[in-house]
Amino acid sequence: MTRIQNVSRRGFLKDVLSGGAFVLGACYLPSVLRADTTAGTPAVRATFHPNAFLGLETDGTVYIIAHRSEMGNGSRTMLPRVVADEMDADWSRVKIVQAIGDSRYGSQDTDASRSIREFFTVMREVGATARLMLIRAAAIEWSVPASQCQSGLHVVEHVPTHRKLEYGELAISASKLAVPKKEDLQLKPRTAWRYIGKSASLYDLKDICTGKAVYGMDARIDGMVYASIERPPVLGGKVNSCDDREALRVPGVRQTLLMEPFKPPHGVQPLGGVAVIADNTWAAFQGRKKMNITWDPGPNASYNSVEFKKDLQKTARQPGKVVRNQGDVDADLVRGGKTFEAEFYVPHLAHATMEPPVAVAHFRDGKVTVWAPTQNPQGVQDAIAQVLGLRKADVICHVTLLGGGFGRKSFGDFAVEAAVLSKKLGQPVKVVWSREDDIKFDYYLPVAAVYLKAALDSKGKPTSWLARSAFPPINSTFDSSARYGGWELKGNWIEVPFDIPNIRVEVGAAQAHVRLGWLRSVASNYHTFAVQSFVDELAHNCGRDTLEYLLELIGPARILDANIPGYPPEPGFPLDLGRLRRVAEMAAEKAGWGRRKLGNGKGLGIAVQRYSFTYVASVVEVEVNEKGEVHIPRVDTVVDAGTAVNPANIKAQFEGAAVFGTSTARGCEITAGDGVINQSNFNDYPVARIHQAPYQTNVYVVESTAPPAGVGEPGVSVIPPALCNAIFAATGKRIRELPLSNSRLS
Amino acid sequence: MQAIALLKSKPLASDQDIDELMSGNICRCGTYQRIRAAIKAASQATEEP
Repeated sequence: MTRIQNVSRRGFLKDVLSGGAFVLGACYLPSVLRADTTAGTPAVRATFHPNAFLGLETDGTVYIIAHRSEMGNGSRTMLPRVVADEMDADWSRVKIVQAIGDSRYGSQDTDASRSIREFFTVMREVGATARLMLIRAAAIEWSVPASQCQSGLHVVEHVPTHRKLEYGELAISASKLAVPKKEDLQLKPRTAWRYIGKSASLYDLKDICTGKAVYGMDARIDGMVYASIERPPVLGGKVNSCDDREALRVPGVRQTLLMEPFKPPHGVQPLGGVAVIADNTWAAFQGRKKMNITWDPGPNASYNSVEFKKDLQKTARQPGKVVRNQGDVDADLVRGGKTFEAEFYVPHLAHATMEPPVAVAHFRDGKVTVWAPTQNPQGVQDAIAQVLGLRKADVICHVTLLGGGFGRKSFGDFAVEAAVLSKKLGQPVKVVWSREDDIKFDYYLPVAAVYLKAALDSKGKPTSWLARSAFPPINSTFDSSARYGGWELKGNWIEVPFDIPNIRVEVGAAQAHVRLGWLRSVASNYHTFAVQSFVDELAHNCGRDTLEYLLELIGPARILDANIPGYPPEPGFPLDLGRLRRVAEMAAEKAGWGRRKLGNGKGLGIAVQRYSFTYVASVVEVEVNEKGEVHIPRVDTVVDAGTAVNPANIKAQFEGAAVFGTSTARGCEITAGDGVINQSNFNDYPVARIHQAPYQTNVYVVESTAPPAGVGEPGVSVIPPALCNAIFAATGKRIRELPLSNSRLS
Repeated sequence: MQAIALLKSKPLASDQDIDELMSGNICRCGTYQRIRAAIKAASQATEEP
């Protein structure tokens, strides 16, 4: 539901627009509020908020506000292009203005692959409103009926006389008109779209390539000092003693400051520790090395990944909390027919954004201004307001470009650190995280053990499906008592997009001992790895081709409403198994599945899923040599994301996702010993390099008129199972635990 | 910078040359195949001095 107002007098955009310009705003009610409060800002999501604004100057320049964050996802370009399309604006005359954090824009939390999905229609209405008002303004100018006027590229034309007025010439008169009702808007037919559906490069591409673009790491203001923080090595630890004498002798080091420990739950509060304040980043880093701190390790010092893994696996083997129960799985499993079971394991993962967390904050006169590469500027406002006891309105959060996000930068802890230090020091502070800080103090993907068991008919097809996963829940970040995952089970894991009569899904309890957060593809990183590996195992178990078996398992094309209490289907996005089948069939076709003779040590593997309401299938080709080294010559990915707003951007997301998923599969693993994270940098958290990444990833985008779905995440979590299935095809070795660097393939 | 160093020493860089010389550079966005294509395009566009 959208309500658009003429907001010229509200002062939005006042820094970029002169008086008399024409400004529109929209009020937006999210169609579905998230069922829980995982983001920690439920109030923000639950009320009306204006979300999008555009302005038109008398010289014809169109300003469009990008209210979502740009981290390579493309939304800073794509959403304004949707506005420009419906407005009939000339893209070359559009200037994009990045929004500060402001709840009146609606959700700015750029996660869950939902920028386009949630704002596509809103942006179209914003553009269509402007177009209609400009047409009406021109009609008044010419004293003709508006019905005789139509828009062209950045102009309104009086059709009978071919008279034209430029948009800029109409800015002042349009600004005096009432905003039309939504019912009066005419959205363009798809055939008239100028930009939607056409490939375009990023608005910031040239600035990024020439080093002019401003990332968080580039932010600087006058009088700024630099801070680097030695944080408690164990979550919840505290400083026992601190000797900073050696640190203070380092040239450029000014002073050290004790950071308060957090009050549980940790949420997005700073972790505590000691900050070294210096004239520059280098001096702060050197000073830290000279600090002599003893710690009270706190309640999580018993966290050891080896034992925790055993505990999780034990939990996954035992009955858990039942979240879905259809038919009678128990009776079917004991009827005496064949059964098949397997266990899977995925470790904690770190986001490892190329730009580590960084923020600049300036506390002055009871207000904080912060510049940060954040996915969630309103979350930063809330967090700083809470920790410093301020009103949210007194926290101004400017959003820079992000050097990668992947979910890490939805948490604003680093911005809170900067704000806290600036208040203590009375001057602007830039907090810079090192790579080691980033790896050791992340909000990790939860570690997970998955147990799957099927009862099989005489042909090897499941008649029952028992799916159980055990993992510490991400909600633990906001609720210390949380033990069971809930929303993590959403999507294909609980829906089970297969033709199976008896289904039970259970979740096991686990306690978090490190900070947990959503990481690109979130719970599908472990659930889809398990399910799509298991399907391959089931197929081989009965001597079937995996593709044929998978298609038979999905069953005929149909809409599946799993009808699960507490897990309603998303309005507008029914689970269409015909679309799921089609991406699997197409990916196999493109990869030459069943047609290519690959030879010894080579193999193909397939995996398919719907995630963020996008259907995706990947076929991975591998070569495994005598030494057990894995080479990936090719990946073929087919994507059905509904309406493709920018096909080139979709291809880029899925190419990148293939590499991201390869990193997860090959060697990425976060472990803890005595509560301390063992990894520290790319030497021991090895993301894929050029020779380890797929040599070639082909992405095919299915043409569709369905509503646009998410594209940032879905491509990641099909890669590890497709890769491991390919390794099985090549070598006969089954990988049930990630990363595969822990398995011998020679 | 690494790619320029590569092309200065091997103006007609092969896939293997690219893998060897670029494997010290990490791209977390995962654009390796475009990096390889860009190096090859630059290689072909660069005239001998």
